[in-house]
Amino acid sequence: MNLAIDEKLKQAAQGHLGGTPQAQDGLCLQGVTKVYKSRKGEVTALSGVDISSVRGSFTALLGPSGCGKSTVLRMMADLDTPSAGNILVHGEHPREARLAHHLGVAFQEAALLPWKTVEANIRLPLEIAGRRVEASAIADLISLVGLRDFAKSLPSELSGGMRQRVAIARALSIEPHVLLLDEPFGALDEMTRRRMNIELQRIWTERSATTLLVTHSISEAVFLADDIFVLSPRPGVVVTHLKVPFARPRGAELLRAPEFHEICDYLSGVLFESEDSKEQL
Amino acid sequence: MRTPGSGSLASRSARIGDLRSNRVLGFQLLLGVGVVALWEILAVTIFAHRFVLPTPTSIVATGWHDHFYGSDLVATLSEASLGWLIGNSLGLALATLTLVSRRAEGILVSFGVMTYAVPTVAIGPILFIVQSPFAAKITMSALSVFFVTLVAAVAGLRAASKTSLEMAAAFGARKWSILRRVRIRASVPSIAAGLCISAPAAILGAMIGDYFGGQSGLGVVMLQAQQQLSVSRTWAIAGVTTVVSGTAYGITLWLTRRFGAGNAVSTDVSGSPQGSAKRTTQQNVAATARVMAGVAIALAVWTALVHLSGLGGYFLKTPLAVWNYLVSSPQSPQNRQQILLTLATTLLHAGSGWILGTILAVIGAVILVLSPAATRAVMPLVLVVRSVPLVAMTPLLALLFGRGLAGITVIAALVTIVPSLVTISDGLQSAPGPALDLIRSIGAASSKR
Repeated sequence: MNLAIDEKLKQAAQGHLGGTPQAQDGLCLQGVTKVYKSRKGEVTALSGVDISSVRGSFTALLGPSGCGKSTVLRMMADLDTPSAGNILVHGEHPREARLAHHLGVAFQEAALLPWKTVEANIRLPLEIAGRRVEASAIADLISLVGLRDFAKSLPSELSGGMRQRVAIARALSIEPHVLLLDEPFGALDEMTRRRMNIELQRIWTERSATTLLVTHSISEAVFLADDIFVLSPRPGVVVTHLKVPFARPRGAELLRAPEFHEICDYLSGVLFESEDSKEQL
Repeated sequence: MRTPGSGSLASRSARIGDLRSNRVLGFQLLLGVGVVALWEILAVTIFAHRFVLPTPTSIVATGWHDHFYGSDLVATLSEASLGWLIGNSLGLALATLTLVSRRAEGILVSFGVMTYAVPTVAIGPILFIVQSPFAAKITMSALSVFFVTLVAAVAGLRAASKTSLEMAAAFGARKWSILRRVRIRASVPSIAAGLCISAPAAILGAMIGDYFGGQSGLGVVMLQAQQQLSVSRTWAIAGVTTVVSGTAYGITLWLTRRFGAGNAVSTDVSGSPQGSAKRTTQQNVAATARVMAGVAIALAVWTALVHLSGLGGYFLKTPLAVWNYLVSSPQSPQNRQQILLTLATTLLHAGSGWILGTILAVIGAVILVLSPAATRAVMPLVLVVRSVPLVAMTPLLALLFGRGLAGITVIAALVTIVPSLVTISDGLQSAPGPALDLIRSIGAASSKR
């Protein structure tokens, strides 16, 4: 049984690396390269990265710290520009998508505005977009992330996990085409993180948007994503693309399933291999 | 997170908080009464017949007899409030220029520093020649608040965290929208602090103006009281000034709190976007260029003001005339020597006062931070002392400590100690909560923090 799964995974991986990446309508990066200029010269952060996904799917970008995975997300959010290559999100250039308010973002830091209540923070993207929504829509979103009793609280009165829930509700309030999550639970403890993953899985099933999650947690990626792209460190290149075979909705019991750990082990092997081969170079 | 029953717990801890704040208030009252009683005793025993330290009761009696200097108070307050308005408007207006260009920021701040470095005492006589006494006092008052607010506003406008700016941008906010929704709102606490500090500063500016002329004003009566050697009147005026300055500070604080300056405790860890650790040579050159540009602007404004005033070269000197005096005329070496000698004396006084004041301030701040109870009891006192205008304090100190090196050192030390104490204890307390928790969790005593 183990062998069978291994075989399947390898096929899935080779399916990507062997063929040319076809342009897909969800997320699409083609030959994306990012070079930073510093005092010591040029540093290639990303080199010819190809990533694609279909609309409405959940993609995770997995890699060790400093492999440039956040840069990929920042370029998709138009907070950074690629040195070479093309990026399309839902068929739009990132700048078009950003200015048309088609993107929702949440970072490792919740970045809530400290003077606004939870409710007002969640409404912020709608205000930016100049959209009016009924109070009940915001209230629904607040209860979706389980903060019904805290709608009028200020961020300083919330715990770290609660702040991240607000940040995710804020990202969803605008009903984005594309949801970009950069290590949203990176600063949380393991227990909270696991609970938040189950929550996010539930929320995402209710309000699905094409999603990119940047993370260094293997189990988080496997639990949440349909597609996982593994990035090697400096220069960042895609070393593996893997399709996660589990059906949705995924519950907490999946975290204990042997198939789940099978995939996690496989991915951690890929990650360590890519680091080892880099060291030998 | 809320757990069942946390409501009763919360109300219980609130009640404990009430009890505690009552106790602190009681302690503060006791401290106040104690200080006044000690003062009264000292004044009638050790300082009796030395015409230096009148009793609190006689000070109040003199103030009562003089109707608490009502008409002079009105004059000073009207000058100070106009100066406060003008100086703050100018400071805020110039600070908004930094929004247009980051480069403007360095130029502006160095220009601001120069206006601040021009002592009001030196520029006062010139202002009184150029303007009416009323206008001159307003100008001096405006000058003493301009820089404070400029710096506070410039700092405030870059207080928004980098991630919150990027967050707004990613949601499709244009530059103006980010400015309005994030940057300007994030600047409110800092600007509010600037406005609060500048309230007593405006009164101080107007009172320094009184020393150069005019018919009414707290400084005018203070000067008269000193000339008449009326010690208790000098103290009474100082008392009135302190109360008024403290009230001005308090009202501004209350107003800014009401408009939401208080509830902006950022939960982000990352600092402001402009925080660059190391500068490249290129950036250093650019920074120097900005300072030079600031100097150039200051010189240009100076020359323009001299020409616009329409007064001849007798009263007002252009930068060129100053250069001549110091460098290119035949008497220059002599002039330079004279200035350098007096400068050395001033630096000696300022230096000894600065060192003494800073040492005392560090000790004081450490005590305040180590003992929260002491902070709660003493902080109102510090705020009061911070709002005592220097003009009011100086004659009293001259009476107490004489006019020699000791007196000057004490004055310079006091000028240093209050702002340093406030800044240092703010700095000590602003260590990020998580960092403090970390160190506390390692088990450090409070002094290690």
